[in-house]
Amino acid sequence: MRVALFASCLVDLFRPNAGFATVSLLENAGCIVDVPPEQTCCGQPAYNNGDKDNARDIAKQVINEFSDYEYIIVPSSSCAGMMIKHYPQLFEDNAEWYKKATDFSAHCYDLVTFLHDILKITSVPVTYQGNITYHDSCSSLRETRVKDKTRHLLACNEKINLLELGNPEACCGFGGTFCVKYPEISESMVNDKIADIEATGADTVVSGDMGCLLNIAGRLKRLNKPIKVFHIAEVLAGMTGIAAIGDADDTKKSEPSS
Amino acid sequence: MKSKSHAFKQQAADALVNVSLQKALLNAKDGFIVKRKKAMDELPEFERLRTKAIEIKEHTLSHLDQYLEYFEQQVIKSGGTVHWASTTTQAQQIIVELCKQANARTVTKGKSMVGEEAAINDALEAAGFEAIETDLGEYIIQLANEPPSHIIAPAIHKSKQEIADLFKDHHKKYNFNSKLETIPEIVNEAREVLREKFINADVGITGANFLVAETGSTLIVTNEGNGDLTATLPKTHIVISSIEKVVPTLEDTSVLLRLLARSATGQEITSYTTFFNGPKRNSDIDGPENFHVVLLDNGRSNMLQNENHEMLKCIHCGACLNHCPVYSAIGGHAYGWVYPGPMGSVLTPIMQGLDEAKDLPFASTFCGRCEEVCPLSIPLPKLLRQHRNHIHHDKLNTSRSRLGLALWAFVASRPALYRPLSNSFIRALGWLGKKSGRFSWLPFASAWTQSKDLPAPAAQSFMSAWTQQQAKKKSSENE
Amino acid sequence: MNNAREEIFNRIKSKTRQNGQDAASIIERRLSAHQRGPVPVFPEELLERFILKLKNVVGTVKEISDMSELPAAVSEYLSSLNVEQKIVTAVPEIHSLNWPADFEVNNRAAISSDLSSVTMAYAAVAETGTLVLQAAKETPTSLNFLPDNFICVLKQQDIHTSMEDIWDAIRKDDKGMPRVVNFITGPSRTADVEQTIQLGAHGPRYLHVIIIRQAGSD
Ligand code: SF4
Repeated sequence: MRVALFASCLVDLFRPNAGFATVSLLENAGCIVDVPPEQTCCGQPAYNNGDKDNARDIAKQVINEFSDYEYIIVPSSSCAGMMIKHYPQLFEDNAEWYKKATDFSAHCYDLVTFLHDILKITSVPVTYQGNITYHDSCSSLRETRVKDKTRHLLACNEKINLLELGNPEACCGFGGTFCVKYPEISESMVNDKIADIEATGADTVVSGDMGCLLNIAGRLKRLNKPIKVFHIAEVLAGMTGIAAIGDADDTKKSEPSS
Repeated sequence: MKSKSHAFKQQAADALVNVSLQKALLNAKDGFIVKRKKAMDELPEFERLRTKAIEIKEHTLSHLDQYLEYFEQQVIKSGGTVHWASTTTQAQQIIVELCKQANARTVTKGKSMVGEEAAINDALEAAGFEAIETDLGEYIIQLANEPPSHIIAPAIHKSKQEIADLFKDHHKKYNFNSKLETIPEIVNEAREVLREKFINADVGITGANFLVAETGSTLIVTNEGNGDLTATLPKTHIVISSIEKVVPTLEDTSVLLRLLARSATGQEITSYTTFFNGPKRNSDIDGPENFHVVLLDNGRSNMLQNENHEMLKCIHCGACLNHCPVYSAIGGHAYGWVYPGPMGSVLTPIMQGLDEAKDLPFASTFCGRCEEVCPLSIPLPKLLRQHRNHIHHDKLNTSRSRLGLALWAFVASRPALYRPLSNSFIRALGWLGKKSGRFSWLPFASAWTQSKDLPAPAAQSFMSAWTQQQAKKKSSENE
Repeated sequence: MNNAREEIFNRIKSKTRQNGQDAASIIERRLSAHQRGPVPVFPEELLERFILKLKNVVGTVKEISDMSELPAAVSEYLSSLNVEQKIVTAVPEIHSLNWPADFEVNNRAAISSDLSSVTMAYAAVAETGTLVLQAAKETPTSLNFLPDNFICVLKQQDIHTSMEDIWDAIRKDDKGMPRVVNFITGPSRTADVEQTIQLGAHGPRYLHVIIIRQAGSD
């Protein structure tokens, strides 16, 4: 099965290892992974700031670049939600592009849905050992709706001991440009999240969205908390051997492995 | 009240460092959420009720003029009068006039958010009437001279101690001098003070949760019973409400009531649900002699066919506030007008102007929990996004954010430009941040770094590492 | 007088799509159909359910088999509260009962100094443990709200399943909508001070329901 990876801008720039982990999970399940070169971002920054014109331009570019693929995989629920739910809405007054956008969105999958529903994987090469807690991103709860699927995948490997958060439906306070428009409110929200994470006793927090991960890691590190932060693809693919998000690279290994 | 929504940013920042407010918010935080969840878990019919409720509202709104006319006829048949107000000023004038006709001195009030919207208390006081809020929460904030901070729990931001202090100052004149320490003591003293007001009031003003066209009923839900005392004891009962609150039948009302109480407080039904139909009848031995309904438009009719029409389905349950992480962090006052939280961030820009309230639609992470819990499934994030679109379109956002957005979009829609730029950008950052793995300060990201470190980007982007890897693979295959 | 009414209706009419004749028949049909929405179902018998739900909201219950037992039941309840043996009621069926000599029964609407009232429910809703009262000469509304101790007499056969049944019952009476219909579920309460529930905010502190069992039931 040939699939295309949309890495998402944050994975591309901040966490290539999560991109390679995604590739590894897909290849292990027998997929041939293409990474179309002309990809940048899904357009959420423009869309969420009321700039529909620019959001449309970016969406068109993504749709064109990926139009040949049967399966387009995104290791982020918020980008997947954007592509699946909001791309068609962007073109509601343009019949031609509306059709293109709906066709396109039918082929988009967030990583967890694809692994769970399409590849139906039942084992994952986890190497990580310890207690993790999982932060459900808002888009994974309410757009791609993968809460249970994520739990199923994590349960595929008994090395993972999942400790659930007390308030798993709460937003971490990232919200794209929200966190820089309202840094104080965002800080208060992420503090609540961190208190919840700490209360579980887990040593690692995992999530499926880079935005949340950067936000949570950023605050954890500022507070000098030893809790580690990983993308779910890294955990599932057994690629947690490098420094966690926001941690110093003490392994001296800069080249990601695959 | 005059809107202070333009100062949202400052008000929000102040709220976050207001120790007593933060304590009160923490105390309130999970109560509503837990109670609502329990009530919904015990109601397997919830989704069907929700679907029906949406149907009821959509149907009524698409025949709004006819239902309002029918409602009016029924009120007249029962001996009451309906008054119409396009604007809040008109509503104030009508109510002041009615109080004058009643030769009133003291006016008791049941909780009404439309009354807050129309600033009825200010108008009554300016006209020389003594206007007393009787819902305990409303009474507390009236003493404190503050607006409500929650649509169903107006004094949620006040601590027991603050309330005791307010009572100490304001109840001296009624010869109450004891130091109040417990909640029962506070509630009891309010009961005694307000009892006198109920008995002596000449006019009682209540709101209405719904207006029933079929019967011309106005109905209120309260837990305290204050609304019923307000409506029953004075000679004149005035109901202030708004035009979108009409529903066709008593059966339709029952559907909405089942959703309202559970969404609001997690109760199956509020302690007192009362249907009023006109003034005292010949055989009655109590009840008001005059019955008036004042219906406010205040921009609602204009929403009927525009993109904001979904907001007219709101039944004011407050669930979206209770589940909003931004509301829970800053409380209601920061929003600057009578309606806070997600529903307020949609309504305030409509009623007070987009420019006045342009910061509110951005005070959301689009987490979507409001829409999820809204008993009418109102797409609040979508409505906020529409406001954002207009703000951007009308150039009401700052030129700095417009420029940033434009530059970013210019680059992001051109991969040939994006790739080398982003690569060199992160190469520099990645190199700088390599040692510690993060930045605690960055010149262009100070809004981030004021409270969080920024995890350092990788020295090489995924795309460039991938390209390199593929090239290597290819060449080794060719060897 | 302003012309707001006209303005508002003009604005609404210009925004809604309905045109005269058709729409009138649509709303008339809807108004007369009285179509019910989903009504929650419950496994219990009506009486059992009513009592269960009433107790959940801190109401108390006493069952008697006949109206003649009412004075004793009321007297006993007032004793348990440690308040004077004195009530206000306006229900002829109640004040004409054989009350003990030292028991004071006032026949009128309530005034502020009344501590205890007794009145008659029009009906009850089992779904939520709710009493339904109508404003009428015999059942003035002030009795339900002013006194601290509110005692309500309910006949078992008047317990219905849902609020919707009440609407049907009122329509069957064919006397139009009563001036006031009160749905009362438990005593008065507030959570306005620190989200803590406190009973007896402005209305009754205690709600006591005396159910007269239907002849032939046990
Ligand atoms: S928008 Fe929905 S959740 Fe919010 S108050 Fe209105 S009805 Fe309730």
